[in-house]
Amino acid sequence: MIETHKLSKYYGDLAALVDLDLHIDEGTIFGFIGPNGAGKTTTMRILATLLEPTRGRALIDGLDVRLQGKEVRRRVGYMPDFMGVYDDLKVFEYIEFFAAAFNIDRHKRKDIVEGVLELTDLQGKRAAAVDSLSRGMQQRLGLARVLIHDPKVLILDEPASGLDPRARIEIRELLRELKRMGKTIMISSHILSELEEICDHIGIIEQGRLVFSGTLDEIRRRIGIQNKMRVRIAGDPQRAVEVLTALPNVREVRREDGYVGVMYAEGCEIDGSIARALVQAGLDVLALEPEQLKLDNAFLELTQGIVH
Amino acid sequence: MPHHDPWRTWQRCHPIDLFGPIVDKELRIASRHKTHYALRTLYVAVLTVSLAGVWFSTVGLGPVTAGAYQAAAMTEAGRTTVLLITAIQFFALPVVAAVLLSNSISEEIERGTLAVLLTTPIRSLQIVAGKLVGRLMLLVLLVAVSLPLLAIVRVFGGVPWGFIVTGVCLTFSTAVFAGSLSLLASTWLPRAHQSAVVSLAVLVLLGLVTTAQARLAPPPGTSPGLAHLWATAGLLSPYTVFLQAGRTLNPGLGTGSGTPWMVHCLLAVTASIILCLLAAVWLRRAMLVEAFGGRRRFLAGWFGRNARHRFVEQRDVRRLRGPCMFWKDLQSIRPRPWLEPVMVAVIAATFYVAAWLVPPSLASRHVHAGLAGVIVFVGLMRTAVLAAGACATEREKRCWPVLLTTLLDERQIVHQKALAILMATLPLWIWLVLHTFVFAAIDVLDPVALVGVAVFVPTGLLLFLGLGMYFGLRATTVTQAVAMTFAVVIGLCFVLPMAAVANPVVGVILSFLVEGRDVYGRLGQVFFMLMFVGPVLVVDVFLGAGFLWQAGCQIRRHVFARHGSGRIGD
Repeated sequence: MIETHKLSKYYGDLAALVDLDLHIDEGTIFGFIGPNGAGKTTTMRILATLLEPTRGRALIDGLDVRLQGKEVRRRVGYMPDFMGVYDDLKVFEYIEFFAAAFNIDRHKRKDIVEGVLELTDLQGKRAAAVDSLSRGMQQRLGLARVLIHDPKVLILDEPASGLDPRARIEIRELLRELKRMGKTIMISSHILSELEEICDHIGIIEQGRLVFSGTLDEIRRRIGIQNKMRVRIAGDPQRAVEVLTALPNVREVRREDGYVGVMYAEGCEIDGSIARALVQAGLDVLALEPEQLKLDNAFLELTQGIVH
Repeated sequence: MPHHDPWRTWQRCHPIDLFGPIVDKELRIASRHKTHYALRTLYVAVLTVSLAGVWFSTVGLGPVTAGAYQAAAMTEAGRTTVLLITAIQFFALPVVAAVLLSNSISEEIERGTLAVLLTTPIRSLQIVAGKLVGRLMLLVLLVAVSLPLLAIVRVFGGVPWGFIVTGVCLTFSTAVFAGSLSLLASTWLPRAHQSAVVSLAVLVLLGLVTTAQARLAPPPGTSPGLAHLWATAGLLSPYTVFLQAGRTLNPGLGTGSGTPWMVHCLLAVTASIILCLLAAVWLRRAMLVEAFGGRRRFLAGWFGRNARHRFVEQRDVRRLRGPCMFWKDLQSIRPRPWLEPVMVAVIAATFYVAAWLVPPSLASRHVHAGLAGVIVFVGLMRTAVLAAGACATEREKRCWPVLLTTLLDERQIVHQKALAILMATLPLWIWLVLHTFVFAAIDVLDPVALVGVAVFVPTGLLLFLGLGMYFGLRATTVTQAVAMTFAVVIGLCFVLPMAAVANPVVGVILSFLVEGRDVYGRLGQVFFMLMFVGPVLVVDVFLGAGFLWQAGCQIRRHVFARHGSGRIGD
C-alpha cells in the first residue's frame, strides 16, 4: 500500500532522508520510530504530499505522491505532530468544514460527520468549541478529521504525544478498531511501548536512513532475544546458574537483576528441561518465561543516538 | 561602621540595574533584529533625500552667483532643512515608538512567558520600564543619526541652537508618551497591530482635541484664573507647541509667542509616567490571569481570546453554506454577521444627522469628498489587514499542513479567502455606492463621482487584497503580516509619487470634487482623469492580480516556515 524507492530529501547540505526504501502492506499498522531529527516527520510529510522529495519515489496505493498529489490525498488521511485547530469553530462545524474540503456531497455530509464523531466518541462534544477540548479530545478530533473521507491509508505523526495514560489507551483502542476496518496505518511515536502493543511492523530510522524494517519477531531475531528464557527462583541463584549451565543446548546462563537468563540454541524447546533440572536440584521455580521484546531495548540496540 | 563601597553604589545606579534585566534582554534582542537595521537605513535615506530636495530647491545647481546671494540662499537652505528634519522626526518618531512598543506585553502573553516572569523577583514596574527604555533606545539612535546633520546645517547660519534643542525635546517627549500609550494598550489587547492602531488613534484624537482647544479663545466671561488654566491647557497639544517653536525659525508660520515647550515636555513625561504605572498594574493582573487562569477585563476581556471563545461556546452550531474556505473565513472575520452592517448603518446615520444639523454640510462637495476619502481609506486598509490576517492566521495556528492535505488546491484557497474578505467589507462599499448614487441623483454630486467610485475602488481593492494576501503568506505571524502590508500600503499610497497619482483615496476624492458644466465638459474631465491615471491603474490591476497569483504559489512553499522548520529532519 505504501512504498518508497530510494526516497531522499535534502535541505541544502543537510540530508534529512537518504535512499529510504519502505514497503508497508495493506491493512497493517506500521510503527515508525527513530531519534529526534531522524527523518520520520519528513518521510510522513512527503507521503502526505506536503513536501517534495529531492529524489526517489513514493507510492501510495500505486500512485506517485509527487505526480498524482490530488489522487493521493483522496486516499490518505494525515494527522501532523501538532494539529492546528480553528478556535472560531465548534466540533461539528470543524469536521463538516473538512468534509466539504474533501468534496463530500452536501446531502451526505451530516450523516458522515455524525458517523465519525460516533466512531471517535465525540458525539457529546459536537457543540463544544474546538479550542475548549482537552489535548486528548483534540487528538480524537484530529482522528475524526482524517477519517472523514474514508481514506485507505492513515499517516499519524505522534498521535499519542502529550496525552495522559487514559487518553493514550483510548487512542490505542481506536487505532485497533481502525485496523479492523482494514485501514493501513503508519504511525510514529516516541512512546515505544505504545507501538509494540499495536504495530505489526516496525521501521527504525536514524540520520535519514532506515536501519531496520520488519516484524516484531524479526527484531527479536535481529537483536538476539529470540532464544532466551527468564527464570525466577526461590533459593540460591548461583546454584541455579550451575545447574542450568550443565544442561544440553544451553549456550549461556547469566544472573540478571533477580532473574536468571538462559540463552539456548535456536530451534530447541528447552523450557521443560529447565523446570525439571531446577526442581530436581531442590530449587523452587517461581516463574519461567521467554524474554519479551522491549522495543526500547531494540531501539537502543539498533540506533546509535546520533542526530543531525 | 558599615563599609561604603562606591563601586557597588555605582552598580546599583547603573541604568540596566535600575530597570532590571528586562532592558538588557530588550537591547540584546533589538541588536539581533534585522528590521531595526532596515529602519535605521530607511531613516537615513529619508533624511538624505529630504536634505537633497531642500538643498536643490533653495541653492540649486545653477552657475555660481554672487557670494552674498549664495550665503543668503545657504542660510535659507539651512533653516528649511532643520525645520524639515525636525518636523519629520517630530511626526515620524511617535509613530515608530507606538509600533515598537505595540507588542511589548502582548508578545509575552502570547508566548506564555509572563507567568515565568512572575516567579522571578522582577517587579511589574521594572518590566514596564525595561520594555519602554529598551525599545525606545532605537529612537535615541535615530535622533543621534540626525544630530550631526543638524549641527553641520547650523553652520550655514540662521538656525538657533534653541530650536534644535526644543525640537529634540518635543520629539522625545511625544515619542515617550506614544510609546507608553502603546505599552498600556499592549497589556489589554491581544494583537500588536491592535495596540499600535489604538494608541495612534488616541494620539491623533488627543492631538486634534488639544490643538482645537489651543486655537479657541476661552468662553466669554471666563475669570482670569480660568482663562489662565485655559491657556495652560493649550500647552497639552504637542502640535501647537511645535508650531510655536517653528515660528521662531520660520516667520511664515506666523508670529511666535514665547514657546513654553518645557512645560509641555514636563506634562508629556508626567502623563507617560502615569500611563506606565497603569500599565504596571494591568500587567500584574495579566500575569496573574496567565498564571492562575481567570477572566481578563476591559479591552482584553472584550477583544481577547477568552471573549471570542465565550462567544463561540454560546452560539449554536452553524451548518456550512457555500464554499468551505469562504464560509470558514467568514465565521472567523465576521462571527456576528449582523454587527458590521449595523455599525455601518449607525455611523452613517450619525454622519447624516450631524451634517443635517450643520446646514451647508450636505450641500458641500468637500464634505462628501472627505467622507468618501475616509470610507475608501478605511475600507481598503481593512481589506489589506484582513487579507494579511486571514493568511497569516493559518500559519500561526499551524493549519496549513491540515488544509493542504485536503482536496482544496491553492487557487481555491486564495479565491475563497479573497471572497470572504470582500464579503466582510461589503457594507462599507454599499454605503459608499448608495451615498454617491443618491447625492448624484439630487445633483449635489456630479455623476463623475460614480465613475470615480467604479474605477478606483475595484482597482484599489484588487491591489490591496493581493498585497495583503501575499504578505500574509510570507510573514510568520499575523502581526508581522499586518505590519508588512501596512508599511507597503502606506509606502505605495504616500511615498511613491506615481502611485499617489492613482491612489484610490485621492482618486475618489478628486472625482467627488469634479464640477462639470455640461455633458461634454464632464466627459472631458472623465477622459482627462482616465488618461492621466489610467496607465497607473492598469499597473495597479496587474500588480494586484500578480500578488494574488503569487500568494497562491507561496502557500505550499512556506507550509512549515514557522513551526516545522525547527527540526526539519524529524
